[in-house]
Amino acid sequence: MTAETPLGVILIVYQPGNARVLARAAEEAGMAAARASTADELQALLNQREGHWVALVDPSGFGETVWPMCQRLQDHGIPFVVLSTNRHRDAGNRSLQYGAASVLYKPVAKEALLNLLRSLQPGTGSTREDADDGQA
Amino acid sequence: MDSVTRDADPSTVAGELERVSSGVPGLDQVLDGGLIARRGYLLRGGPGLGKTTIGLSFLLAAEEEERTLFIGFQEPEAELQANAARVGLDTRRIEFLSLAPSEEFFTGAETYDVFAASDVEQAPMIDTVVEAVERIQPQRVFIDSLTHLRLMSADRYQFRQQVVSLLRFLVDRGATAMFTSEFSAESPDDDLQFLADGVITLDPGISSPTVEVSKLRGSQTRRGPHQYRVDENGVEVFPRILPPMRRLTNGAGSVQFRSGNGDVDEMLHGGLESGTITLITGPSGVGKSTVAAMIAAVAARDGHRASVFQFEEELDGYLRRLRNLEIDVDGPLESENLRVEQIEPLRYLAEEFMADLLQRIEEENIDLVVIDSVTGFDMALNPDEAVHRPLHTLAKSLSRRGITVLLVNENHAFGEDFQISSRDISHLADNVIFFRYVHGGDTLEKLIGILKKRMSNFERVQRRFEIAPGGFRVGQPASAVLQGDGGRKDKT
Repeated sequence: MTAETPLGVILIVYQPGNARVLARAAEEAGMAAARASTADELQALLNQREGHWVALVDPSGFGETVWPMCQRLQDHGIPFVVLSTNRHRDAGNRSLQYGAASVLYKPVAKEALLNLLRSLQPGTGSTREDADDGQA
Repeated sequence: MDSVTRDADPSTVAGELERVSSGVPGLDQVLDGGLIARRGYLLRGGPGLGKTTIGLSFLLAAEEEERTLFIGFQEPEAELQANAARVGLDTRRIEFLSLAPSEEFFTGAETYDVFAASDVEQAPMIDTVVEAVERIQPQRVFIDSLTHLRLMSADRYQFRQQVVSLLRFLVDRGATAMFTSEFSAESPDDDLQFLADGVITLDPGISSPTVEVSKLRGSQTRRGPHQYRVDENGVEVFPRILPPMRRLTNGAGSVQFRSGNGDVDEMLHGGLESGTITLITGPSGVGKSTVAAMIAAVAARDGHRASVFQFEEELDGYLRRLRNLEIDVDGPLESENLRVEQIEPLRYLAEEFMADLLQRIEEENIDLVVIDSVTGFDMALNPDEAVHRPLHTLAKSLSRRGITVLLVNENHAFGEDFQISSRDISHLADNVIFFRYVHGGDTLEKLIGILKKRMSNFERVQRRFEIAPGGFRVGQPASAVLQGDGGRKDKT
C-alpha cells in the first residue's frame, strides 16, 4: 500500500444498521471500510490486507465471540476502538484488556470518531484520552 | 406564475398581496381571502384532526399548470394515496417524496445506535429534499411533519436555523409552503409559531373540532375558533357567523304576524311585528309549541313563508298533535309556504346549521322562523357552551335581515315561582309571551300573558286558557290570580 492508499477500517459490527452507517461515514471520509461479523471473515480480511488498517469493534450482539476477534486484532498489531454502551461498561473495560486503543460510549460524534481513527495510523499516535472527546 | 412580475416582497404582485386558496372550503374566508402566496404556514394539531387531509387539499387547490410536492416523514406514498382516496381526494397530480422509514428499520437492518440521528439522517435527507425541489420546481409544498426534523436536529438552535433555511429555500423558488407540527405541553412548538408567516391551529374541542388562525402576517383574519368537519368528503370549515352590525332592511314592523286566535291577538294588540324576536316561554306541556305553530301556520296561510325547526319532537307526532287541535297545517305544508323540519342531534354543527339556514332564507325568502326549542337547539348544536352564542347569533342574524323569529323556551318555573327564562336569553327578545301554571283550588290552571313588546302596546293582564281538541281557548283575565301574584320574579 502506498502513501496515497486510503486508510482501511475493519468493522467488527454485528448490527447491520450500525455497520451501514459506520461504513458510510468512513467512506465519506475517504477511508476504505470492510465488515467482518465472524472470526472467519475477520481472518480473511487480515490475510488480504495491504497498507494501514485500523478497526472499529461494536461488541453488541456478539456475546463472548467478540473477544477472540479482539485478541486476533491485537495479535496482528491492528489498533482498534471499541464502541460500547453505558449499560455495558464492563464490556468496555474488558476490551482494554484485549488491547483496545480507546473505548467510546454510544452514540458518538461522527467527526470525533473519524479523527480518532485517523490518529490511530502509525506515526500519528493515539491516546486513551481521545475517547473522552468522542462522546456525542 | 413565472411570467408575473413580482415586487421585492415575493408575496406581492404590483404592490398587492397575492392570495392562493387553501383548498379547504370555508378556510379561505377565515384567512380573509386565502393564504398569502410564497410564504410558510404552520398547521398544528394533535393526531386525527385532519392535518394531512388539509395538506392534501392545499396541494390539490393548485392551478392546473402548477406543480405540487408532498414531503412525508410518516406514511409511505401508497398509504397516503389510499387515505386520500377515502376522503375523495385524487392525488395523482401530486408528487410525493416519502422519507418514511422502511420496514427494515424495525426489523433491525436499518436501526443504528452508534451515531445520533442528526449525524446520520440530516445530510442525506436535506440532499433528497433539495434534489426533489430543484427537479419538480413546485409552487406548493406540504411537509408532514417538521416534528421529525426537530427529532433529528442536534439542538433547538440547529432546528431553528434549519427551518428558516428550508422555508427560505422553498419561498425563493416560488413555492407556498405548509408544514405540520405535533405539539404537547412536554414538546411545545413555539419556535415554529414564531418562524411561520401564518399559524393555523386545530383543536379537538369537546363535541366538534375547531380551527383558529392565530397569525397571518400582513393580513386580517376572522378571529376566534371556527368549527370544522372531517368526513368522507374531506375537510370543511364553517366560519363563525357574526350578525350584521345593523338592520339590513327598513321593513321591521311592516307586517304583524297573528296567531289566528282572536283573544291572543288582542292581547298582542294585533300580532307580532316582522323582524322581531319573540320568546315564547313556559313550563313543559303548557302550550308554547302550539302557539308558535299557530302563528307559523297563519303566516303561511296569509302568503308568507314560514319554517319551523323542530329540535325535540318527532315530526309525525308533532303534526298529529297540531291536527288534533284543529290547527290547519296541511294546507300551508302543501303550498310549501310552511316547512317543518326535524333536526337530529349531532347531525349539524352549530355554525353549519346557521350557514345553511341563512343561505336558505336568502334563496327561499323565508319570513318567519320558529326554533322549537331553545333547549333542543342547545343540545343538538351547542352542547359545550355555557353561553348561548350560536342562538344569539342566529336570532340576531335573522331579525336584522327582517325575519321574524319565535324562540320556544321551556322554563322550570311552577306556580308562584315565575321566571321568564332559566337560560338567560330574555335579553334577546323584543317580545315575551309567557305561560305558567297556577293553583286553582284542586286543579292547575294555565295562564298566558304578555310581558314585553317593544314595538307596540299590549294587554297587561294574564288570562286563563285551555288547549283541548277543537283548539286553543282563552278565557277571562285572571284578576284573582294577579292579585295574589306577589311571588313573580322577572329574571331578565
